[in-house]
Amino acid sequence: MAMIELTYFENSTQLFQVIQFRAGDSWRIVLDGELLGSIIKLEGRWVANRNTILVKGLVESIGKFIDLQHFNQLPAELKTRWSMYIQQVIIQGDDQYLIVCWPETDFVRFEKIFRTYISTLVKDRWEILFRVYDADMSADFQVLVKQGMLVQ
Amino acid sequence: MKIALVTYQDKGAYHAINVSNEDDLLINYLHDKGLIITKEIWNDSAVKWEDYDVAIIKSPWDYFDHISDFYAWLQNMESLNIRLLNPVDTLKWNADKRYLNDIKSAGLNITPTEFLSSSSDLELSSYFSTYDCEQIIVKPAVSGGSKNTFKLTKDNFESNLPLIKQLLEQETFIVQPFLKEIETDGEMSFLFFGGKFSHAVLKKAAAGDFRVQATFGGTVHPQNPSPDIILKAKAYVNQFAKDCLYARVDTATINEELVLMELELIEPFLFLDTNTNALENYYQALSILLLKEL
Repeated sequence: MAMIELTYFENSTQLFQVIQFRAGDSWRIVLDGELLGSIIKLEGRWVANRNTILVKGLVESIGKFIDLQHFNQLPAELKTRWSMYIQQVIIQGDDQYLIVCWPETDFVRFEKIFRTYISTLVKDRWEILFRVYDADMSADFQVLVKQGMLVQ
Repeated sequence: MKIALVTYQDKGAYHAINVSNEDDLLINYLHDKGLIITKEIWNDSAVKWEDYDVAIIKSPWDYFDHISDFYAWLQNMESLNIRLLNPVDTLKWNADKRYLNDIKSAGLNITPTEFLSSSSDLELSSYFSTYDCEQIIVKPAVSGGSKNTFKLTKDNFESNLPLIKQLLEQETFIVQPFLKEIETDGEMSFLFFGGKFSHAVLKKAAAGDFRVQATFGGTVHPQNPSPDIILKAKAYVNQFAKDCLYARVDTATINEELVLMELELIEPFLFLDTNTNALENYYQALSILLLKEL
């Protein structure tokens, strides 16, 4: 799984590095090479882990910034576009998503649809891998998309 | 992918009217999600384990009555290359309460615990002063469900001594101070699935009892702990159960500090019917772990 590194500007002056080493982990906040601590979303609220040197307002604004990233929006877009087919989307990083279909989905038909239209939903400039599984995870296909184009 | 949900042969020992049939609730939910999952009894010799890809340990509640068989069963599952959830090393580590020493060594709060491995020089009376308490708890290092658990006072410990010594010939025991907060405030359990917080419940003992298990008449109350409290509970999971499908962190609050009573990673009751998101949280965590293997 890929590490995600974001850059967050506070008042156009301070530049924070916001880093997540793997999906589900806390986000580490780094300023001028110094680790200030980490933040995590719990019960829908962004909070700082113990020993984190960040004011509450900054925790919330960095959290909101993370929420707005496209890799966090894409799962909802996928589920909305193919609600009849997609049961859940799991973010594995900003370059990889796992998709699980509903039981009794026509998996062959969905693969054709997915391969045809997925590139219209991808906005990021880097390669993104989609691994799509049927409901009992016994069948799958993979699709690689880059800059809105199907790679394979 | 074929999945076994591992349970035990129910002989009524752990049944209580107010304990819902959680296994059925879970298996029905996962089945509706499209998973191929079957309930199996861990020590049923008729089960063809080789037919399964994954075995989820759910409720083998009698494993500590047959601990050698349970370890042999784990070994067999390993040799058959069946993936266990939780991982086999975690199950073995968690089966013996000496794991509390590891947690303490990591700098996390635990309830004070000493281990008794020999009956020859047993001086139970000293623990009342060591712990500066009126009552102590003595229970097996490998145990669950309050089996052979003693709550001793300065007045009654001597009458229980012969039995405890007899039991000590067979297995290691632990001694802990009785935390009056358990009786008055109850025990808070935090449920984590895939390392993520799912829900929490407060377990309170029945009047006059100290065992919070529903089997003994304890009651369960859903809770909404604050994020900072959740983070304190999560610290145990982050360090010792990060890759586990399920973890239950049982705690008490002593002098406003969260203290670990038990980290349950084998067969905890999950209180899935106490929170509307609990089953979905479990499924989400399970699917991530299953897909990791592919």
